[in-house]
Amino acid sequence: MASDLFSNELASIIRSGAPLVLAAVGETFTERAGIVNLSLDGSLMLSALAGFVVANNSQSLILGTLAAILVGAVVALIVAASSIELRLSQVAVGFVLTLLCRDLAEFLGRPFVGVQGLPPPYFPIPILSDMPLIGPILFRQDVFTYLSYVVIIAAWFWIFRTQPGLNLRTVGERPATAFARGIHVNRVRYLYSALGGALVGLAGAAYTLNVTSKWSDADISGAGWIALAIVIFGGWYPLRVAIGAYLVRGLSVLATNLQGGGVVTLPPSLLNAVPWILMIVTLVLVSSGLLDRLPSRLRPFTASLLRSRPPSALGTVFEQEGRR
Amino acid sequence: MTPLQNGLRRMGGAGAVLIPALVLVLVFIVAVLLALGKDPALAAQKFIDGALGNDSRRADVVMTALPILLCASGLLLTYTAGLWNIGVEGQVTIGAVFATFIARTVTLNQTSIPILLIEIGLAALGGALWALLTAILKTRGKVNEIFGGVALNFISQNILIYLVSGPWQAPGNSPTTAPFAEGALFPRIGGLRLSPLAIVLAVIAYAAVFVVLNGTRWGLQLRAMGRSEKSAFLLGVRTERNVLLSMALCGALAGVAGAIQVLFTRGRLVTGISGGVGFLGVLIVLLVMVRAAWVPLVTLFFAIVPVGSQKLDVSMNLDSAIGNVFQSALVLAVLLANGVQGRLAARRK
Repeated sequence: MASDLFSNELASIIRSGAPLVLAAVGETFTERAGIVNLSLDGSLMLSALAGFVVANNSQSLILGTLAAILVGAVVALIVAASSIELRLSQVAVGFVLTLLCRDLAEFLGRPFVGVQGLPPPYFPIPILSDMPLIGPILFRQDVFTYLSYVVIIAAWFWIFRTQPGLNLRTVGERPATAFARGIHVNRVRYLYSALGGALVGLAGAAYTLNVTSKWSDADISGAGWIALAIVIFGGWYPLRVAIGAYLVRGLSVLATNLQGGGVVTLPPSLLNAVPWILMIVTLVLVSSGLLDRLPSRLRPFTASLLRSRPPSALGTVFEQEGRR
Repeated sequence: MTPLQNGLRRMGGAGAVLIPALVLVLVFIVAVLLALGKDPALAAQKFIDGALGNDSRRADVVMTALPILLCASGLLLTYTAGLWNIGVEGQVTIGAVFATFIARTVTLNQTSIPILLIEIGLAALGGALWALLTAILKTRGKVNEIFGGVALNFISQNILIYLVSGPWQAPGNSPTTAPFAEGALFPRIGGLRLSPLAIVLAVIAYAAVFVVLNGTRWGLQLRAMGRSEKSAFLLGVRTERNVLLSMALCGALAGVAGAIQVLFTRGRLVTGISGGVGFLGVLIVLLVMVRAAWVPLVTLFFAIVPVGSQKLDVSMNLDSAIGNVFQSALVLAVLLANGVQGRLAARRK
């Protein structure tokens, strides 16, 4: 009985963590190519709205998801193009897009507040879902959650085990070297901006078509910033990024349960501040070099788990020789 | 070329960017209105009437502009030094909270300058301390100020919600403090909602920032840091001290903006007290590309938008969030137009 409850809890963390995983792994792709898509908090919201509205009007989850993916990809491409073609600051354009997408979602979404969405695509996988322990946790889920598994594993494999993945990392670390090796640096950047944005859009769809099944900007507000911080916490490694996303979800579920069980009695508003305090603490931990002062026996462990260094060319413009 | 001619030429250059961007955004807004089945001409008329129709509305525009001007002035300092102080929203909020510490205990029923000065001083202190958190996280913890600022924004928002729905809540269910006594509030002129004190504060703050940036050694140091913090450090600029100082000053001005929001605009502490003035300040500083001279004009223009779009909400059942869409779309369009102009100029060379 107790173990049933426990596995239910884990299953719900995996399910409600899927949007964070998708968005953070998407941003990992984009940043690996050297582009920061800072617009996440807004583009997640706008794509979530687009997915919800299209799905409700067409009565099709697939069309809704495609619309969300399109919105996410287009916003990411605006950031990429203004950096690559116009030499604008990615941070400036990304931040303004954050606000613009948020405002648009708030304005356009007002008539859809309180509208009931389609039922989520629940789909227990035969055989696998009967496995003891992990079956009920991992395989009695919905299509979006399965997609999040696929994305995590595919991202790791693609980035670290394939030639295009090696090219991607070179573009983000040493664009000039990549160019000398015959890689079209800017083409790669466009490609992974679109891919990362598409995953952010998918994450938006996973919110309104699966986790909440309704539109509410308040539910999604802040998730994009958390995803951006998780990318740093995960050191731009898809697996660590995914673990980070599940940790964040897990801790907030845990906090809510402790609250519900009467173990801790913090006002809910202060409880809502916990993820943000956690964000600051972990960012200090991974970036400040405090870890280097630990006893040397612990260091290999912390280095592989917590070291975080951004791609060297992150946020910079690549100027190809002889072209203006 | 005389300085005047040079200035006019530069203004012409800015106009060449601003006007196409403005046209583009207006076309976008008209398209959105048509798609929603609203009459754009009627909306425009209601909007202009709502913002500038009579003295009281024009006074509202001026008062709306003041907290934004304070934030934008502070942000000029940090952005000149290359610091992305996104945390300005939280600094406004904490400023309002600090002012409330005193304001909620005041029972006096007439304006009192000493009380006001203490409230404003505390608000500035609160905003500065909150900004220093972000700054220390950056200089000592190597946490990018954008992430530190965003996290502290959300934390400040939750502190505010906790206070107005917990220890400071007025009897009843709504998340707000009781209205403050007259003695805690900014004095206002007769029938208009106009506060000379707030106007003086904002104008002095802006003028001081303008002088600091354009006429002092420290302003030059900040500009050097904005170009390259590393080179500035190697040339002997005390960069860490300047990061802390410019952030704290910006936080102080944002805190005063918070004091205006709580002691004038609302008259009590409520959730969402900042009203987004911090982010508007960021948008303005980005739009003018950190050129201080343009800030007052653009701020007034930005203040027309929320006042005018309130009228749309009432009379056309059009959500006033359309005003926010207009503002952020305009800044994006100006950024992009600037980029295009810059590229064209580079190709011509």
